Amino acid sequence: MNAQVMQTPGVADFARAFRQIQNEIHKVIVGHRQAVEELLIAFFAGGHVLIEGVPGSGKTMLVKTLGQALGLSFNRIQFTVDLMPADITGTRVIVSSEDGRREFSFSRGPVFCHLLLADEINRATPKTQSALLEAMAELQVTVSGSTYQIAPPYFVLATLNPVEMEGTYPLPEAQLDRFLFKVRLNYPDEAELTRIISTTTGADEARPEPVFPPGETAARVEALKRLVREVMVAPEVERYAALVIRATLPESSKFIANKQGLARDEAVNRYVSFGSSPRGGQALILGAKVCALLDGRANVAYEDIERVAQPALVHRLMLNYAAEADGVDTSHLIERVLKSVRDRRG
Amino acid sequence: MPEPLDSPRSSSEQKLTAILAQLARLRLRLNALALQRALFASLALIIGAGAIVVLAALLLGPLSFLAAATLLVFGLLIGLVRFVRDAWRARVDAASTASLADRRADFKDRLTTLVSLSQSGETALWPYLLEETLTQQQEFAVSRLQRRRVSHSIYALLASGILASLAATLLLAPARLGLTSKASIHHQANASADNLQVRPSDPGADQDAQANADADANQQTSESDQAGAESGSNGTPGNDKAASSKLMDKARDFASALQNKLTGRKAPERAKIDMRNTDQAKNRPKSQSGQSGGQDGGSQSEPDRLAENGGERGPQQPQSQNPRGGASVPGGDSGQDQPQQSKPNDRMANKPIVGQTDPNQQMGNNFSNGSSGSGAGRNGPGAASHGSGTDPEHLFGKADKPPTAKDGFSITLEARLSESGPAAGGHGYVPPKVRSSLNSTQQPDEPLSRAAVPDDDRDAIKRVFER
Repeated sequence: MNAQVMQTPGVADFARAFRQIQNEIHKVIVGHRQAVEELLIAFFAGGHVLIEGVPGSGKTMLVKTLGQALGLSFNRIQFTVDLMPADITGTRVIVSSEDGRREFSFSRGPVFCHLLLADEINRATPKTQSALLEAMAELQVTVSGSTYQIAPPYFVLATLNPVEMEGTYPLPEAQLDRFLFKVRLNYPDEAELTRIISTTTGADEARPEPVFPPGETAARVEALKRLVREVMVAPEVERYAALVIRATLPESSKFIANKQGLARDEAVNRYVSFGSSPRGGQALILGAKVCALLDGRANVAYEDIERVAQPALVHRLMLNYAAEADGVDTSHLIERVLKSVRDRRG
Repeated sequence: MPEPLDSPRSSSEQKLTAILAQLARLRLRLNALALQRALFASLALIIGAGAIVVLAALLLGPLSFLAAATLLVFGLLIGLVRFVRDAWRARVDAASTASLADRRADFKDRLTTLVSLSQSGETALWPYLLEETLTQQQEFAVSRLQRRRVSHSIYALLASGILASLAATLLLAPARLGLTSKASIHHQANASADNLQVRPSDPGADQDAQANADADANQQTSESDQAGAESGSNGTPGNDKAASSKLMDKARDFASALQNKLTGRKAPERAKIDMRNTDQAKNRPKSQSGQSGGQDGGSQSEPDRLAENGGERGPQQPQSQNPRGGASVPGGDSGQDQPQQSKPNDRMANKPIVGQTDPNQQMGNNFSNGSSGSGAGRNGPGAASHGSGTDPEHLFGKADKPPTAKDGFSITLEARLSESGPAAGGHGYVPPKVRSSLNSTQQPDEPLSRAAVPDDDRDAIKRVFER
């Protein structure tokens, strides 16, 4: 065990590396501090992120800057309605060998990288969208019966454009659930906008420096991600996360066998058609572990759960038409859920 | 931030033991406080309630005391149950202690995690967690998280002790402080029963009074009671009232005995009230009374006596029972000065006085009273009333001085035994007589005096009355 401790980077190492990456990103990205932090939490928790923001809010720039700060390979796919799965995963092509023979060879698609930006993912057809699922969940791609591994670390950031919804294909719930967090990029305020204009229109282009030495990045990132998994969680805290997830389920849901301890919140029962899946609980705990390390702790606290509840659950709660009619916000419902569980805990 | 680099396993166990021991001390203190809270609060409640009961026994009447004591016993039981329940809930186990320490020391659930995972397998960050927690050991020291060794509820116990000592002081020196209960007032009083309907005004007021009466007073009282019972037996409310009255009596007796026990008082001697019937006409045998009436009022004819009684003879009023005829009034002319000794007729004597007089009857009584008061005093019995009435046969008589218009009335007097009455041999308060003068258009409220009627007019007047 002592040997393991020696090989594993410490809590302080993690926090230091995290803050360094954050600072490098903010050399380019103005504002969006919370979004950047949530993005990095998801990255170190080993999940993928769905980014929602209006055009020009810096989505692509954010992912590109993250790749540069980490020194990891970065690809970008612009999803369109005529994009095919093979355009993403890659395909077998006929190549001529040195001896003149022709044979099939697999040409890797853009998913084979460390950081993948799936821009405006809701513009591609569901078939193309789902081509990403295997890569995201299992870090592998299967083409024509052959499986190709994707080297870790692997981090997918898909962006959603909330406007111009005409001709788009909203992501199905199953696919949304694969994303650990959903991060929202809001409009910059006046000061931030002024700074964005100033830094992006000058002669000097800000460029982030890689935090890790070249060639060690992947190993270092993976070591940090392993450290996250080592963070301890008391059974009471795990139960708290489970209670939060259960509290998002409406009593009317027919998929719940045991309805004991379900949400008593009237708003949840009224506006939520489907609550969070168990993946939401995993997201809560994994994100909370990263938060604990950032705070210099080796254990998860209740407040860590609450800190990541919004990005972890906001895309997992399916609201009904009543919510849409009443203009109910998912974030507001999550706050109510947290409050009710907190009160129950005492 | 400390990093767990090469801490040996034994060292980890020692650190864990040290942390758990500190938590155990905290747990011990928290549980001791919970126990103290229950103990002190229960004691305070019991002592305080006891003191209040004693004070109530000293200061309140039996029924008020009973009500207060019942309420206090209820409150005591509820309070005891609540205190025990709260103490049971306030007790903490190891996990609760850790959680509480985390909250109070803002320890971000480190201790909860340590206690929860101390039995399960260690992870790579376990030494770090131990080391980090141990370096902040002072943050969750017992003296820091729970300074108090003695529960706040000790103040309640002290307050109840003060209350108890106050009650004891009052209990030991009631006379010095002028605190004597109503029950301890002893009297011996003489009251003239006469035609009064004697009954206690409040059943609880003078429950220890013992009334003695002579034979006539007893008879009169029992007749009154019987008349009251007859009127009450017509409906169930009277019976219910009697039953509830019995229950009240029992409750009063019980409360009184309890009060005496608590205060150490002996049961007070009963105040004695001796009653005698001062109605001398009533005291005489009825035959003698009738005879006497015949003798004293020998000139009074039968119609005159009827007229005296309102001009009609009721079937329930045989002539012989009318003691008014020639009854001599003790005191003679002093009848006006001593109206309390004036004699109403028997109908009044045998019926409850309060609010039950018939208007017609009242008219007759009034007249009778008037004649027996001033008329009898001045002109002698029987002289004042002849010729009165509307019977055409008796319209005319000698002109007479009109009887004094003195309305008779009935009034209820509530008499209680009191220490602060007039001194023995002294005179009681006599209200001044007030006579308001009449204005020029007013006539005195007196009956018209009889005038002499000329012989020629008598037939005409007679016909008018006959019609």
